[in-house]
Amino acid sequence: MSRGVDEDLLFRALADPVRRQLLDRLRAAQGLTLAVLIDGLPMTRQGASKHLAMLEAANLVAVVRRGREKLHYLNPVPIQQIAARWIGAFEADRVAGLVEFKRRIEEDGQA
Amino acid sequence: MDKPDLVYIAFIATDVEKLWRLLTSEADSPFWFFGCRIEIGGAAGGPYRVLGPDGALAVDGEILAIEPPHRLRILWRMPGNPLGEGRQNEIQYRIEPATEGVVKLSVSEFHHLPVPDAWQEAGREGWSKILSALKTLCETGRPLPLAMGEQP
Repeated sequence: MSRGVDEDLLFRALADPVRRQLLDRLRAAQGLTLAVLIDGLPMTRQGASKHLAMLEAANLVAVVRRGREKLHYLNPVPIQQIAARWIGAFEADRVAGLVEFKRRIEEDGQA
Repeated sequence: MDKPDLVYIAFIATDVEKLWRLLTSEADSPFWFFGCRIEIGGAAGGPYRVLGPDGALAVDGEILAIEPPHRLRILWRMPGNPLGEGRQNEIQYRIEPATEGVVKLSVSEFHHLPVPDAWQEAGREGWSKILSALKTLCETGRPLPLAMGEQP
């Protein structure tokens, strides 16, 4: 499971308004069965199952089986990993920039 | 099986034993736990404490179940019981093989006392960072440069 494959799945899973709506619902109330999750939404159980399978494959939804029930939870960890990849790099650049800045003003001070 | 209130999952390219060692290592804990240090006993009934970077006691918990290298369940008792008196909340770590060379780490929260929304929000961010840090540490051997956010 390489990083590239994971990320393709993640971005594909997020690139759909219905799946984002399901994530929004799980953010508001977690541990929902499929029936409760899609209550009031214009979709079939079958359609919702497909969307949820894709979200689960991308690890955006965690599924806990309890007896015959499947409970669905929002898992924000992959989104944090995406943030860490770019925000972390950005911070590292900023630190490098500060180190360079300090070196320059110290040189100026000696000149 | 009781129903968790919140679940966090990371898939990590490592083996079960290595991740277990990292998760239960007092020396390595600051590298994945916002600079906090854990103190952990070896058996159920033993202590599980979290000390902040300044040494302040953040969690004064207890091991409820420990099954190396797969399961660790903790009574997540905070000094002063800020969520209220009574049965305190629990955290469970579970490590399972997923696919070839990949393990699944899940953290589940079991709430016996209601957790305010703001705490849940902080917890969502905090656990996401902790699991990301464990993943990066396992896979690269380097700590993730974490922004010091709220602790769960």
